[in-house]
Amino acid sequence: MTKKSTEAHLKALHRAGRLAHYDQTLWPDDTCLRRLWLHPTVEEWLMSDGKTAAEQRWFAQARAFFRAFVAGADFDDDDMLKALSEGKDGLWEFRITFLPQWRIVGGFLRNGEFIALAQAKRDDLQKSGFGPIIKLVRGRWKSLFPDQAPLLSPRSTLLREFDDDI
Amino acid sequence: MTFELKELSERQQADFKADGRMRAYLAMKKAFKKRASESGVTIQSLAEALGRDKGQISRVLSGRSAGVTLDTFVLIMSALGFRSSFDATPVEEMHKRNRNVAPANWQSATPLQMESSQGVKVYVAGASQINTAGTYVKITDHHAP
Repeated sequence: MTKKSTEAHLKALHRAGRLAHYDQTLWPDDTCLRRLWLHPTVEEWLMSDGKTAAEQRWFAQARAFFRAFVAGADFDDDDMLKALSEGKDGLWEFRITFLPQWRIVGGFLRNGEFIALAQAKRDDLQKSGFGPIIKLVRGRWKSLFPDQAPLLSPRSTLLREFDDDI
Repeated sequence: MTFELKELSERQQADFKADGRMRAYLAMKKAFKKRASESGVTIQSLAEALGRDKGQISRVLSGRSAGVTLDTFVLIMSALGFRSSFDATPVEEMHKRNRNVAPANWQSATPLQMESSQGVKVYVAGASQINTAGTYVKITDHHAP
């Protein structure tokens, strides 16, 4: 797909409510160097207020984590972003390490543009393994981007600034 | 531009606090990564330099610590040879983003939490498309800052 057709496809998905753009800024000078798209289930989870003070704090921390990603912070290490299946299928897990730990799984559509498709508690993944979430994410990716596989590149390349010269 | 003090909602307070914690965490991580790659500093050696438990330093640097005090933050940064900088920038002096790759002038779509059932018609004022693949959405104009 060309840059323009990919952009048009994303726009259609966005308008249909099938992907939400994460652009939660707190300050006027917050920078946006990468793009983050959220599956509706991920968006609903991430934007939750939480039921208790601890949950409220936790969700705020998760939003701050992704704000840092969008702002271009250094995510180039396994503590924060790790390839699944040894990087063979282009799926990655964002690792939210503050407790309780969660994993957000998806893939890069283009350099600097991540599609977050599912999330799970690390404890649950330890019990079930990554198989079910990988299957879910593959299915969601295929449904959203039938003609385009997740990008296969080294992490440092995928984490470059998004090139918006479209 | 005059500043007007406004009440912060609980959610705003949580987001601002989380933002500060994230910035501090990233600063610490950046400092540690530089010293680890260039000078061979390890969690063990940093813990020894501070007279702290290795597990504690590991938890702080991996973000698993429940809460890091300002003292601990400054101590770790200082041991790594970094002076933490704190500044106060008035919001009215902040310039709008000089780089913004967010999609511009797109309409945002908010899924309406409704059961999709046969025979039910949903009309949303101003919507150009109200039912896509079984998902009802509300479409509103959106202009990126």
